[in-house]
Amino acid sequence: MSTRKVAKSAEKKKVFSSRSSHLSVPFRYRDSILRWAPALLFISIFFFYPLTKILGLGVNSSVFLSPESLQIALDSLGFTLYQAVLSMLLTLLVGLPAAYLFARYDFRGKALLRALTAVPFMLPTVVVAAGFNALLGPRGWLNLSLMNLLDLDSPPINILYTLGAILLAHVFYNTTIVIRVVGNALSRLDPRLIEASRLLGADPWRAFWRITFPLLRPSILAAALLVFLFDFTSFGVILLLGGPKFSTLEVEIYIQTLQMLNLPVAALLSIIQLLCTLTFSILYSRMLAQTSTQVAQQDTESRLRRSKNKRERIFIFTMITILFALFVLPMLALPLRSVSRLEADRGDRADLQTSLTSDYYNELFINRRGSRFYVPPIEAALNSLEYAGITVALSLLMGFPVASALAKPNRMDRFLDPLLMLPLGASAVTLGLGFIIAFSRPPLNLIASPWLVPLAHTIIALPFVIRSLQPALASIPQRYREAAAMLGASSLRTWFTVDFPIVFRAVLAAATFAFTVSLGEFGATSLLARPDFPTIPTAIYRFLSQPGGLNYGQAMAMATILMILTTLSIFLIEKLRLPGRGGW
Amino acid sequence: MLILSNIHKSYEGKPLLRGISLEVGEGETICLLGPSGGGKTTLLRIIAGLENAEEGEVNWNGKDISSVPPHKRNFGLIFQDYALFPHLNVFDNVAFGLKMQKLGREEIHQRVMKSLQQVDLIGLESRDVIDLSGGEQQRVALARALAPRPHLLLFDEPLGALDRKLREYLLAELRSILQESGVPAIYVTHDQDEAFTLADRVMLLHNGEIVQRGTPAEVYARPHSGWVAEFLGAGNVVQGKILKDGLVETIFGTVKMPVEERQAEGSPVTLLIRPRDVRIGNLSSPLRGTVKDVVFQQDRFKVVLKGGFYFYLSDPVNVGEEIGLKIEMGKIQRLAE
Repeated sequence: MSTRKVAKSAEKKKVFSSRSSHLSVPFRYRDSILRWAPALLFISIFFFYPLTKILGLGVNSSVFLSPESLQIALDSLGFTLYQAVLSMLLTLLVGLPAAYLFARYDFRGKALLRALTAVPFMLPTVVVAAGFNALLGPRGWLNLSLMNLLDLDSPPINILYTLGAILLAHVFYNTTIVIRVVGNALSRLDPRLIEASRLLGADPWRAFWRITFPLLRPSILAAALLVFLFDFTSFGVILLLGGPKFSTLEVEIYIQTLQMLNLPVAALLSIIQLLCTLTFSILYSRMLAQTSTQVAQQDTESRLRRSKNKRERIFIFTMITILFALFVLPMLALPLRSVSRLEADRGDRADLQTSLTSDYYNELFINRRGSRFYVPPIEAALNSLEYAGITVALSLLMGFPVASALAKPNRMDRFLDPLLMLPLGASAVTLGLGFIIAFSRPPLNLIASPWLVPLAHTIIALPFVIRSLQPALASIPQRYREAAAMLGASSLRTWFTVDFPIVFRAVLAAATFAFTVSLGEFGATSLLARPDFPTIPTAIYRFLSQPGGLNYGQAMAMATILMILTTLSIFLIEKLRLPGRGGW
Repeated sequence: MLILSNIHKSYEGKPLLRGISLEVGEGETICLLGPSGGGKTTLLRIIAGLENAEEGEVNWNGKDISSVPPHKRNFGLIFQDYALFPHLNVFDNVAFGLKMQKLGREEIHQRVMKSLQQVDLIGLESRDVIDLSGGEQQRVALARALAPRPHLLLFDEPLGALDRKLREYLLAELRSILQESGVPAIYVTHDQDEAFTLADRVMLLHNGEIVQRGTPAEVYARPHSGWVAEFLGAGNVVQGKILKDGLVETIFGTVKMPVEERQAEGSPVTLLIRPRDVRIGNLSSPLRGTVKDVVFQQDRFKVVLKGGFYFYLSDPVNVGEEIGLKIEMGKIQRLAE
């Protein structure tokens, strides 16, 4: 064969492997462009456009850099950092021993406890707030029991609307991050390294400081920074458990937007917020890169052991108690409180009348005179479901093509990928503010439209949808298809027996994800939802801020409904996940 | 001098070590040889102080050290996959034990370099250990164990993860390092070639007991049992039944045993027939079999008969052919059950 012929046949092969390589550039990426277009168009209109509006408003306004606005910004930034650092330290204080517990010991109920510690991470903030309220609030289990027991006139525990409540909820939310990140590193840590150091003359204390700690340090730092990032951008927890006097950047944006109607200051705060999260996110991804270079080896289950001596048993028992109290009690208190009548009737507080009741649930269907709503509360649930449905449809329609492009990415796909992830970095409140600024006047006057809420939810859900579809779509290996073909399946049959089940599971999981995100979303919704179109979270917030046992009970009932829906979704997603894939 | 007496240990309720006793003398290298999962590693960990025996005593130079923690024993342990500290470079890995002894900077430097020289790793001091090849990692592990001048070296299948060529090379190196340093050593392996190369004495561990001990030559020449012979691959282990007049019936025919071995007729015996003692005979021989397989092995052919009996020939025979065998009678060994 002549050299020319060889070159030609090589050329042919190349064409065969990527059919469009000889086409002009725009044509070569035609598939990609088609797949990305809807999502990019959407995110441009509903994310980048509002963002530029925030920037524009900030820069053009005279109040933007006035001493008063700077003072507000500095104060709220200061408090945001303060509470985030404090929350992070407390989370490490609970999370590090818990990580050690899960990584090193085997005990009964371990899998369940581990699963339970992971649930809060996905729970809507309103549910968490309601849970802590049901446990520790003035009408909560603990206070009512103590009042009855000790014959007191007023609730003895006043943790609600204090910094303590905020910190507690943050620990509740984020401990699972420490358990996962540090626990994983810890269980990958080869115990023989410790043994080797012991034989080389290191006592247990020095073995810890010279070997264990340096090897875990990158993971501890990464976990701490991630926790810090979540605490820094926390909104619902602060508003619901701390009250408006604890104004973080997020809460201050909300207050300036809705109560002060001072949009330029809100814009300034949003810009600061964006810059901070951007910086922390970059730091975090740097650190993450470090953790993966320094892993040691091996599978771990074989190293788990049962407690050997009394000290270990005391440690295990204490940790289980703390974790149970922190993670299980609030989630138990909430549904129980929603079906219990605990207050003594008509000022007769001699005896605590404990009885089961379905009143709070029945009330959800009644439109009371004098209520803040124009509609029965159950309408909020219907609104939420409708919004969630729209969010699922929109995010799947735009997310699926992108995820299928990313399953076998070309250069353009890789380039575009981070763009769609950017909304993860912006806070939901900032998004809400951007919507208010951008869509309150022509050309896009949507502010009166109930559509704004699901559009915002779609922006938030889209990255999650893409990230949960992509690995599943990428995981369908050619080998499976080839194996099926070798076993005599036609290509149509192959698609139905191999591709479809995997794609179907992935789509269902992604849909559940989007559904859950939309159902519980509070930050953007609190700015965008109209009073006559409440969602479950905004309704819970309003019930919680009203006085009276009935309002309280209804908040508990709705939060319970939301908690059950979310928990079911989490377990469904977990079930749908392909074995050996995912995690975060 | 190390003396273990009557060590017992169980794992999840099953006995793993059942009364192990052994001694290691000055400058002596002992190899513990046995199949995987036989408790060899556990025994090593008990000596190192990483685990406690349920019964028995670990005695070092006349003192019971059962309750001395590992960092006060000054024994060196080389792990199967080395357990190098991934966050330290080669130098700091080797220096770790010296730093624990709180030696001065200058002395640490000198002794690290000397250890690295011993294992031929000069020039790699500042390399990250995760960037090293398997063989280099193995040597760092050795240098790290040697640097603090341990009283006793413990090896846990240290060459198990390497390919054959590298293993043979490192084995020769290890042999000379052990001879030079004069440190007593216990070497655990399931590979008889490693054991025979290094050991002054070999101990065979089976079902938690030492079933045979002796120099490599002794053990190989006179395996005590059918299990030992088979584990060492010493030859054909053949079951038989005693007839009269020192004759033994096997599935390959009748063989004659030395007459002093008088036993009741019909009682079972285990025989070891080494392939080197087997020749091809004529078909009228009382021993015969059908050729099942012939395998070419460089300078000879391995002939396997139906029933698994094997020996070597310089010229091939045909598969399916019936052949007679000739065995030098004095060479057949009787084994314990």
